[in-house]
Amino acid sequence: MVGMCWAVPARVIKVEGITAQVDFGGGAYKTVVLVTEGVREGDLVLVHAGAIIGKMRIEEFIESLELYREMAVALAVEGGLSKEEAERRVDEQLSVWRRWVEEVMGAGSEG
Amino acid sequence: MERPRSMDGLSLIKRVFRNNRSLAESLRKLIWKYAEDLHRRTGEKIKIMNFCGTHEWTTVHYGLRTLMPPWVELVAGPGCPVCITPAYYVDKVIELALDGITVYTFGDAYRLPTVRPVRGARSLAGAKSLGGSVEVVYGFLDAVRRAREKGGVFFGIGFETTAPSYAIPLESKAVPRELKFLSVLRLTPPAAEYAIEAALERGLTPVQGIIAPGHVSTVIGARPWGVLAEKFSIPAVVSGFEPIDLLISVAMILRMLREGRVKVEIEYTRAVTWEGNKAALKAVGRVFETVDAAWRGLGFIPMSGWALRSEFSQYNAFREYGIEPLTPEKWVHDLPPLCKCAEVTLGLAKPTDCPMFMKSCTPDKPWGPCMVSMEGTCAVWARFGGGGLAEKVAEDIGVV
Repeated sequence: MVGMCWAVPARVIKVEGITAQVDFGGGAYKTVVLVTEGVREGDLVLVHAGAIIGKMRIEEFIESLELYREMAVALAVEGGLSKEEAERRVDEQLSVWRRWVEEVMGAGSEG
Repeated sequence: MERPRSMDGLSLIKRVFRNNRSLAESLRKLIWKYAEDLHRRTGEKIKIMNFCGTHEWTTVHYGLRTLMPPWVELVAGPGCPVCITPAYYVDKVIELALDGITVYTFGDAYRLPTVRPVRGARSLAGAKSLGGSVEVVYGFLDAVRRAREKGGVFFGIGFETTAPSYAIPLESKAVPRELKFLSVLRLTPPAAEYAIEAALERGLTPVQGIIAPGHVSTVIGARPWGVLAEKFSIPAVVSGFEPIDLLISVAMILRMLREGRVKVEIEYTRAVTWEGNKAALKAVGRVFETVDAAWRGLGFIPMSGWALRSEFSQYNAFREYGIEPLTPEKWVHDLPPLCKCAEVTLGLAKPTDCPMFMKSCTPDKPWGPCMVSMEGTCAVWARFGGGGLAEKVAEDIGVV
């Protein structure tokens, strides 16, 4: 049973007037109400109770990681590391996730 | 070079924000460090409240409370629209269904129990089993399609997240006149304020941080949480719904507390902006007006509901079926005997404090409204062991 307050990410397949077809992955498709402007085929969106309530911005995935980075670096510096060394360590940890995000973004602009 | 086909935006969310043990472990250390500093300074417990059932779901499902220091308490506040829909309106839709008028409803409101049976039925599910006309839908659009043939009434529950899915079809004249709409829409920030005040009035540990609801904020924007943060001098972070999102948000709140900053910040930057979804908000504003509204178990909260504007009265189920809206004078306490859903909704009690929890009230046979929806706090705790079971298992296998 789908909870009504539950929003899930999905990919837009087709936009038709005030509705859009979306793919939740794994072969689950739905026609939903479009309540967000500027949604296009291929966009990653949030679907809630049968409506697209917003677009997901993949480039912003990195922003959440940046929030973590800022905290982790600041604490490491408090702990006695130099700023450069703290940044190097945290960036090393983040590098793989950053690369994934960039890969997906690159694929999005090509397709 | 060709990318692996499996890697797209959806799997990226899972790999970065869900199944990411290394980042979770680093965040746990950050949280402990911040919390230790704070605790050393004040000696007080730090209470952080969420206002979305999905946040509570993530917290319990992924065992995030097991990662918190003992003096950081993550508390569920009002975050489930099914839980707070007044029993009076559940009674009314049961009556309509039993009178043969088709009631379209979301799956989780289908089993929502009222207080006293209405002509033998305690819920819409009960009404259906007695021959009433009830149809479970995935969204408003399903009701719009089906109503062309047989008419009926949509049980319009929800928070700000759901309202645009009603407003856009109503406004664009996509809804047949045969479909009526019973608006019981409710607004989250006034209820959040109510819950924060409830703890203060009772002299309980005050809420010191707000995990603001990401999906509600996708629509209303992050700004309304700033008003709340300022009024009570507590930091707020608009958070996403993956476990890593919530851990980052808790760390951000603790960091602000440690530095004595009161601000609203957005963690869920991939979906939330300061302004919100302007097109959706405008449509909602044209279709609905803000009114004082009743919350189940709590009573009236000023300017906390959305009612259909007079321009849309041809769809208004209140007018069509002569349903009198609730008033503060007419509202009576509307929870079943012994049910603590009101206290649970306000974060004043845990589900395990309720004498009915997992005894006479279970997900299979819900007695109170918080045990019904996937986002009701009691239902979440019942399914995933929120009452300490997860912590006990974690302790036994040595992960905490």
